[in-house]
This record gives sequence, structure tokens and C-alpha cells, in this order.
Amino acid sequence: MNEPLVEGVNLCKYFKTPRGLLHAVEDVNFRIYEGKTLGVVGESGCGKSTLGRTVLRLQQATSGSVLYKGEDILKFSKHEMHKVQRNMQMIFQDPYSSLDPRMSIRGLITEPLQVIGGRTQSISSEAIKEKVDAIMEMCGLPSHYSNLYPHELDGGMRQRVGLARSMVLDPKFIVCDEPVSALDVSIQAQILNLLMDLQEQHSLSYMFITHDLAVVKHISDAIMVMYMGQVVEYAPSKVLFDNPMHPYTRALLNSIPTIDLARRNRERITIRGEVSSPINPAPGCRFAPRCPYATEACKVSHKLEEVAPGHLVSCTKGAR
Amino acid sequence: MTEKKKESEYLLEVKDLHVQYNTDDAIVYAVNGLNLSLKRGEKLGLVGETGAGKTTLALSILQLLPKRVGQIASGSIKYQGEELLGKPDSYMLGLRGRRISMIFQDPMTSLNPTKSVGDQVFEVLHLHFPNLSKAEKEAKVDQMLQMVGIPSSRKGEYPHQFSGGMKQRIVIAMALIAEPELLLADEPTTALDVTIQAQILELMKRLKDEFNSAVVLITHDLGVVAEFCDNVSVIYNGRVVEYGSVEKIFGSNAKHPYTEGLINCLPSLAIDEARLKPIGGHMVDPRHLIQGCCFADRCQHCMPICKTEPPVMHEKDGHMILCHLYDKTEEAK
Repeated sequence: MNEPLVEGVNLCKYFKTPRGLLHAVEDVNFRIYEGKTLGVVGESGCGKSTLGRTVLRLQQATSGSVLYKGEDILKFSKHEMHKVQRNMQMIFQDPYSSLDPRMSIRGLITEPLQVIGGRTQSISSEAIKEKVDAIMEMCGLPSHYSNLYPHELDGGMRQRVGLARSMVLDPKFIVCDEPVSALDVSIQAQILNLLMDLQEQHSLSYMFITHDLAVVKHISDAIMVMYMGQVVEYAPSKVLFDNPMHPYTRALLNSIPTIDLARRNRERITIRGEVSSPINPAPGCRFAPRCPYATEACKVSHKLEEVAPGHLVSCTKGAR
Repeated sequence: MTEKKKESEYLLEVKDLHVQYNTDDAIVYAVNGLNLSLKRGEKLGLVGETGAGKTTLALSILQLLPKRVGQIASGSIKYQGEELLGKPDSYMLGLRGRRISMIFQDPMTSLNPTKSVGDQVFEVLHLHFPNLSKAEKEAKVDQMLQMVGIPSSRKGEYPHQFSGGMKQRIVIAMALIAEPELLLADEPTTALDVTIQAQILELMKRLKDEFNSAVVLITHDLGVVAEFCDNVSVIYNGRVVEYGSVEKIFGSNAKHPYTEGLINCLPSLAIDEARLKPIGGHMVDPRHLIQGCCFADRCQHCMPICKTEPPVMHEKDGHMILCHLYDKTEEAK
């Protein structure tokens, strides 16, 4: 069995707030293999973006570890971190605010090379220019764009610039945080195709964070469903869609509006209520207050169990 | 006689509407000859990409276009048979919020942060029904909040104390408290999660049944339209390129190439496909008016005629398509 490229082990991230400890990510385990995509889905505030940032050490984890090729990067010194940083990159959700408006497209794509590349090895300016040209072409950015500024580009093109900025370092692993959520469907399709092409050509691994289940199904090999910082279900993509077991996953899948007219009159599973507060949460399953199947026992413990090879779920009450 | 009867059949009728924005650099043609009609209690979906003119249309109906910049160049908007264009502001004030309400996209910015939510809902009643007693108004506010699922014990709280979904429900409560005949909902669920979206759509359906209000749902989400609406207008470059019932638009094979493109680029839950099929090219630059068909540059079926002559609307059993492709099929028959 080959080793996972990136692995999270009992990862926790808490934030101190005036009202108490906010449990953003609670005891999360995952494995991402080379050339594969792990989809992370959940509603806003479930901790999926925090998880992505913690994996890249943009935030220091409260406890647990992140293994890159078997080494715990959370224990790395600053210097060691610089070396792995170029292999682990991120694409952000909002292509409007994640690019410096005062830098040209070429400048934006060159910057990571100068910052991170410059620390580890010196590259000649010609080599940089060549590299940037190649990356721009790879990401579908015409060369006459190089002197334009972000405000002159539409959302799809800006997202391509964001992608080029991470690709320029030849990363092995990219955390994509809602990269297509702000885009129109036709542009979204272009960017998803591009991401999948790049993955195939460079055997990239992705952690793909989104709230759009159709998108996640399309792009992922495995999917992790999060609810208020906890993983409630983790399964290969096909298994999750064919046989969802957790009541929350089932409700989530049922709520997706589709253009399939046959689904129009399906029996609806609507979950009542709102996400409760993640500050000093009660022990046990955090979905319990909204769950139609909740019992007293649910308020005590929350544990993922393997019900089939690779299919982990914290509760099987939703299974048919 | 029959003419008149036909007119009152529709709650809202928009005919050949042209709206432009006069900016410093250029004239932006946002809506170019748009037609629309809506019956009482009907749920109409308006779909299209960013910049198609969906929101401009809604703002034109309420005459809320930005002053001096936004201009209705020509056309007609009739509400219950009465022409709205040219009506004084005082008349529109009586209409807005009372008979036609609008829900804006972003619930975070459409509430006043310095007033409690109860007061904000109360204010609408106070404006439109000044004759009700205070106790009656309070009772109505409580009842409305309850209906949208906000406990009335929380009405003294401020917007920041509520979640996004709850804020959107408060906005809906404000829009519906005067029991309008028409609700314009501009992307009401775009900022929300799917489970909350399902709750809001369910709520809007229930309210429609209760008051028999007509709803115009503006969205770019085809799935939401397919599940919520009776009829769909697909908008491109400020005009309707296809109109029909949900069954016709999503069920039949005859489609405008743009609608087909939109449907094809959605990742499907049912089928596994390796690659998505995006629509090539870009949206038309709205600063220029198009000679032929507005979709010609991106269309896979583009013919020479598409570049030179604007297509005409083809109708078959209430399914309308604006495309030259359907000229040919009719001739062949």
C-alpha cells in the first residue's frame, strides 16, 4: 500500500473568544494520496476553511499533526517549513480580494517565485520569465494579459491567475478553498476542467473545500462531510452518493436542488433549526439538536466507525 | 371588450423594455427589448448569468434604478393593466412594499443594523397601514415572525445576533407583512447553505399558497428554478431567449442553444462524466448593440444568418424560443 502524501492525525483547532473556546476543528483525520482529491463539504461555519488553513499551517493547530510524506510539518522550524511550503499551496475563494490590485498579472505570478523560490535557490531573471510564460499558458492566460491589472479581468480569469500563482512553484498539493463558488456556471465548468487537467498532467493532490455537492462529486475521489468541526461521514465519492448513512449527509444530499424533473416530487428531508453555537459545545454529536433520530445516547459520544472498507460514519441511523 | 379582458388576465406585463445605464465612458445597454407576463399566483423563474440584466429588470419594475445613470429608454411595464412608466414617485411609494415587494440578494446588508428586527418589520406595517392600532400591528408582527420561524421573543434583538438564514427570513417577513400581490426575489438563497435554502424555498411556497402572491424568482441556479417555479424565462444580453413551463424547458429536447449550454455545464449528480462542457467565449459587451443574434458568437449552431439578422420568437404550445434554428424546422414542415 502506498503512503499518503498528506495526512491529518487527530487535528484540532480551537479559537479563544471572549465567550469561551470555539471548537472550529475537532479531532479530524484524513489521508490524501498522490494524484487524488479529497472533497471537504459542509455548511458555512462548519470549520472546513479553518481545516484547510490549518493543514497548510497558515494557522497553528491546537493539537494533532499534519504529515507531509510522513513528516510532521507542524513541528518544522521556519527554515524547514520554507522547503515544504513550495510543495503545498492554496487557492482562495474570492478572486476579487485575493489578488493585490496594484500588481500586474505578471508581477502577481512572479511574486511567489521571488519570495519562496528566492529563499531556497537563486534563479536568474530569464529563467523566471520563462517559467511565468509557461505557467500562464498552462493556466489558459493569454500572454497579452501579462501587463494587465486584476480589475481588468473577469472572475474566471482572476481565478486562473490565483491558480497560476500556486502552480508556478510546482506544488504537489493544493488546498482549493471554494475556488468556483463565486463564478457563473459556464466559467465554473472551465475552471473545474482546468483543475482536473492540471491534476492529470502533474499528478497533483487536492483538498477541495466546497459547499456545492454536485461540484464535489464531480471532482473528488473521496469525500469528507463536516458538521460543526466534526467529521460525520468519510467515504469514497461514489459510495457517499449511493449509500449515505449519516442523517446529516442524507439531508444534505436531499436538499440539493437539481434540474432532474424526476426528483421534483421526491420525499423531502428538511432539517429544522439552525447550526448551534460552536463555542463551548456540549459533548457528543453536534448534529443531535437538529437530528430527527437523536436519542439521549447521542449527547454522550461521537465516534467515527468503519462500516465498510474506507467508509467511516459517526452514526448509521440515517441508513435505509 | 375581449381586449380588455385579456389585459386584466395578467398581473404584470412587460413589453419591449429597453433600459440603459449612461455612464461617463459609454452607454451600457442592460435590457434590450424584454417581454414578460405574469399571472396571479404564478411562480416565474428568471435565469441567466451575471450581467444578463435580471436585476436591472426588477429594479425597473419598481423604478429603483440609480438616478440619472439608469434610464428606461422605451417600452412599457403594466401592473394590473395600468402603465407604471411615467407614474409619479408618490404613486410608486404606494406600490412598493405594499403591492410589490422585493427581497434583495444579500440579507447581511438589507437590514438596518441600528434597529431591532421587530421594529424593522413593524415599520413596514406602520407605513402602509397607519390606521391599525398599535396592538394590532404588534400582533401582526408577532404572527409574521412566527410564520417565518423566528420566535417572537427574539424580536427585540438586532440583526447581528442572527445567522444568515434567519436574517433572510426576517427580510422575507418584511417583504410579506403587507401581503403584496407580487414578490420580486433577487437571488434570495444564493448566500445561504443548501439545507437553509431548502427551508427558505419551502417557506416561500407556503406563503404563496397562503396569500396567492405571484413570485418572480431571479437566480442563476437552474436547480432552484426547476424545483420552485412554474415557468422559466432564460435571459441573455437583456432579452428573453427562451420561455416555457419548467417541464418544457428541462424536459423537452427543443432548447435555445444558450439554455442547452447552461444545462450542459452543470456537474450532474446522476451521471459521471469526465469533463464538463463549458460554453465557449464570453458574454457580449453590453456597451454595443448586436446586429444579429446576441448569442451568435458563442453558439455551436451559428449560421451566417445569425450574424446579420435578429431572430424572431418561435412559439409552440406556450414554449417560446428566440433562435434562427427553429426557422428552418418550421420551413421544413
